[in-house]
Amino acid sequence: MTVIKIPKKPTKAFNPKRPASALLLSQIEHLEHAVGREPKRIKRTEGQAARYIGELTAELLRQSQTTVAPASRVIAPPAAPVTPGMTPTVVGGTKAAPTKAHAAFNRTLAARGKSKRKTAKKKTTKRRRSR
Amino acid sequence: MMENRSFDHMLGSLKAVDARIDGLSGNESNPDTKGNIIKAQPLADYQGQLDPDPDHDFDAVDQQIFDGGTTPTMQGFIKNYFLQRKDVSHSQKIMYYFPANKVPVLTTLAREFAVFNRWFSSIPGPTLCNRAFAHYGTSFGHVDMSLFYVNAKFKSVYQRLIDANHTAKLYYFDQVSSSLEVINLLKDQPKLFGTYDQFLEDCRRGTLPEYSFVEPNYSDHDGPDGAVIASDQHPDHHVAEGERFIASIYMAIRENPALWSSTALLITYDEHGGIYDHVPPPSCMPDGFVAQPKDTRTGQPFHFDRLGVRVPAILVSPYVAKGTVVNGVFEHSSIPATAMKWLLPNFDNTQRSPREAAAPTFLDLLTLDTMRTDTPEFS
Repeated sequence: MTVIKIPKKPTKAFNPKRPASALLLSQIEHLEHAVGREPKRIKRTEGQAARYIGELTAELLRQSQTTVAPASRVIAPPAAPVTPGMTPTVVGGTKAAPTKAHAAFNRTLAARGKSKRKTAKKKTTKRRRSR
Repeated sequence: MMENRSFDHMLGSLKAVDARIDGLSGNESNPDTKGNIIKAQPLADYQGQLDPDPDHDFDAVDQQIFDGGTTPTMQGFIKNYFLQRKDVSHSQKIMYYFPANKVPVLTTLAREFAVFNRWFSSIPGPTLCNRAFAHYGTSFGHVDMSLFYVNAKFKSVYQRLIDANHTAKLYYFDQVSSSLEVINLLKDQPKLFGTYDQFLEDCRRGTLPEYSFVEPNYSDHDGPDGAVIASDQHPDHHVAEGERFIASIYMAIRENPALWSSTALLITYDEHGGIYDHVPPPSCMPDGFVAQPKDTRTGQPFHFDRLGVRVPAILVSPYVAKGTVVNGVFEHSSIPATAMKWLLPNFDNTQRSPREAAAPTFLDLLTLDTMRTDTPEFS
């Protein structure tokens, strides 16, 4: 039987002060969207990003205990599969910029204080007209 | 599923010890921005060489594969990495790969079990859209890091299994590392999730679900017992910590005899992370979506009709013959496809992506009638 020595724990590699990667920033963006929090696009170290991800995850799990429907379901049209001769709309976005869906969600949040239902209804009407 | 390393970078050295493994012969090269021909070399280090993180957005990978042309020559890696630091010498490090003895966990598992010569990332693009294929069999038209699951047409493999009274779970490392790409499930179905510590406990108790997906730690952060080092191997995280993570998963399964005899472990990477690989990605079954030029940033739409760059993939089980080398083409849709073939073989194909429905599965690699007793241990 082959016995392989596992590499030692690289303790000197620990560096929570390196700038947070695009991957962690995207993860934050997704979590902020899921909990309904305004995106805070600020420079973070990896350690700071991790702490914030932990905070957002805790908030998300707290919210999941409630019966409120997830906010993400009221935004953005579905990405439809392609049928021959037709090009679907794809909900897009990049690492650096907010996704369309996230931006739409933020607008929904901002409008919530005024009249949530009216805002949603207007959006639906507008979308139907534009088709 | 680990992060951002190409097949050649991690396993390319194995060609020297087993010619059936499609790694590096020593003659593979890329031109740098001054026209020098730079060969792939076994000089990869655990940390410090790939900073900044090599670009692996769709347009960057397009340059890496096509080098501005229309043929996938795999000749644009150095030129693309040069764009980030404008340092010719540094850009050449994108060609470095690990000698086998520097990544003993991964290379031992590759030689002792089944290694895939042709496992490609699902999209020539970044992390989240590639990982989406492992969970949903599609990225719903996305080639970037945006929210892909809003009004998703197809259910995740976990939802499908749970709906059919099977058991499934995603284990993220800890709450601070969290889950990467299925935040929607974390909110809607938190019971689908567990942590790495719970995974180890479930292995000890023999209470793993029928299907599990394990995520590494994505960040260096403080834990209750001190420093927690990232284990995802994403550049510039320390590769040895990822080796330790993979070994811990393997040993957790192996140390429970009942679990070991009934479990197959697939180890793979989401995408190549901008790091050199010599095999041009092939065409594939389109998944029914089209990404627009504004999202691909190449001036062209993408029909999801070709795969991304090759990544390491290893199937571990005591029923896999030692030294198996797999030459068929696989990609991440093969993960849900295999789970479905095993647990829900009569699942309605209209309820999953055409890509997943057509994806090859890999449980037929469990060819042995009796369990092996010569499998390796990690000390």
